Amino acid sequence: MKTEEQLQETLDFIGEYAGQLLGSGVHTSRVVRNTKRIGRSQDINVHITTFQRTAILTVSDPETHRTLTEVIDIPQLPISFELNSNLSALSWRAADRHMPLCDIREEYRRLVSRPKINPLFVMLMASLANASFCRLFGGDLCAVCIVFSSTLVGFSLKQELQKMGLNHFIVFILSAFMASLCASSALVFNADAEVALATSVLFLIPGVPLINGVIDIVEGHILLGLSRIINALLLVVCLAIGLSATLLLVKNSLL
Amino acid sequence: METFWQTISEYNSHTWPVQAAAAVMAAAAVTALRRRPTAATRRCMRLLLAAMCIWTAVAYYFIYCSPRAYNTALGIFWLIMGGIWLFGAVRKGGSGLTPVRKHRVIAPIIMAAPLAYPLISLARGMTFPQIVTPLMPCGLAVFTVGVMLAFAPRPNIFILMMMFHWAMIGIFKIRHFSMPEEIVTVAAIVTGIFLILRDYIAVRYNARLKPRPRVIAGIASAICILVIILLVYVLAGC
Repeated sequence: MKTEEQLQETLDFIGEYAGQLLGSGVHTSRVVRNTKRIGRSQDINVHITTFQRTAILTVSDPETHRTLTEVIDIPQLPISFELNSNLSALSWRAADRHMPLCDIREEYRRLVSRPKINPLFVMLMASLANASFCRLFGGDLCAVCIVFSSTLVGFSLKQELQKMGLNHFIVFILSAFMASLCASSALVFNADAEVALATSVLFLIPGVPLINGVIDIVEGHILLGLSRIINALLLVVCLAIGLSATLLLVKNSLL
Repeated sequence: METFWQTISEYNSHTWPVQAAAAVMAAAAVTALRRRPTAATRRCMRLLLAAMCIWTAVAYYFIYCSPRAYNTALGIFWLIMGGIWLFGAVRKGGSGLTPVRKHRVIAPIIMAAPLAYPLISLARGMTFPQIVTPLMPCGLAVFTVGVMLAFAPRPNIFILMMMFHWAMIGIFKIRHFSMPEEIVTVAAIVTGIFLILRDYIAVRYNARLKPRPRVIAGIASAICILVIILLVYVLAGC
């Protein structure tokens, strides 16, 4: 049997845990499963309703039927597959070993305070990936090299603007414009400019929200799935606006 | 290629007094900032870089290079660069640019590297006005990297990457426009950016980030070596 204070403490932790998962790119059914699993380890029932920006969490003690409800804000966090996987593993450990809440919390704090990926490393790897895409789509050496440096320019601009806290739709428009503007220099050298222009903005494709949106819809979380897909599509539209601006600027308007 | 050299020729013959004045002003601004890094000298350096970038965009690309195909995109590239320096002059004003003692030997060499362009052009038998001069995009890119190496302990990665892009373009200009002067551009920019990134990583050595800074420095070094290999490959193909 849980006291009200214990129940509140568990609710607070599960709220933070669910917010962390939802904010860092986990699809809804996985969040529901994980939070329920942690609830089971504490001998309480958990029910969660998720939206794009907030989630409603209810915990109840099956013995006393005491129920508590809380609305949590979902923070905007960088996508981290490693953290998501570790947090899922934590829920399994908690359920299998019947860990006390203080141990789960301590383990959770350790996981979320682990070193983050160096932004410089992400930028270099994204640029190499984009250059590889260019080669994959038939770009020649000149186009590949130009796409590599164009992605470095676009990605560094994205990171700088995000650091300044600019609206992320504007960040996407400006980054797509800058990356494609740089890639348009392939036109000067009669390189595979079409491939270079098309692949220079691929680093901006919001893959995770698109996939999560589809998974959510397939698994019955239609509302959140749709909002995720709409958000992802808006980002794709921003990307298209940036790319179109370059195509309009380039001589004889390539658009 | 004929249009390319024709536009350069027209640009040089009409604007050589401005170019000479810009070179003198750049030397004066560097000397002043090196001797007395005050708010006024810092603002002057930013404004001078902004003016040179905007000049390159408007006078060089939009006016004299208008017969070339795709001059607009490259002009806008330098207009954006000028805007960034202007924004820096207004927003940061008299802070930021401070002499970095560590690079007091290599930085002046990189800043002075654009002066080698006319000498290389003359050495390979070209005559004024059909020569590469310091106040052209390649020279400006090298000078910008030199200034950042000499005076920016906290460099803007976006500007560095824009200059790296210019070095990449330079490699292919060597072959496409038979322009060996661009070897100086590539060598100076890659060396400058490598040194700046090495310092940038060293300052953040204890930051809680992964992979370790040593790995990032290794990747950056590998990329710089690949660029040099690419340069050699392009030169071999010429």
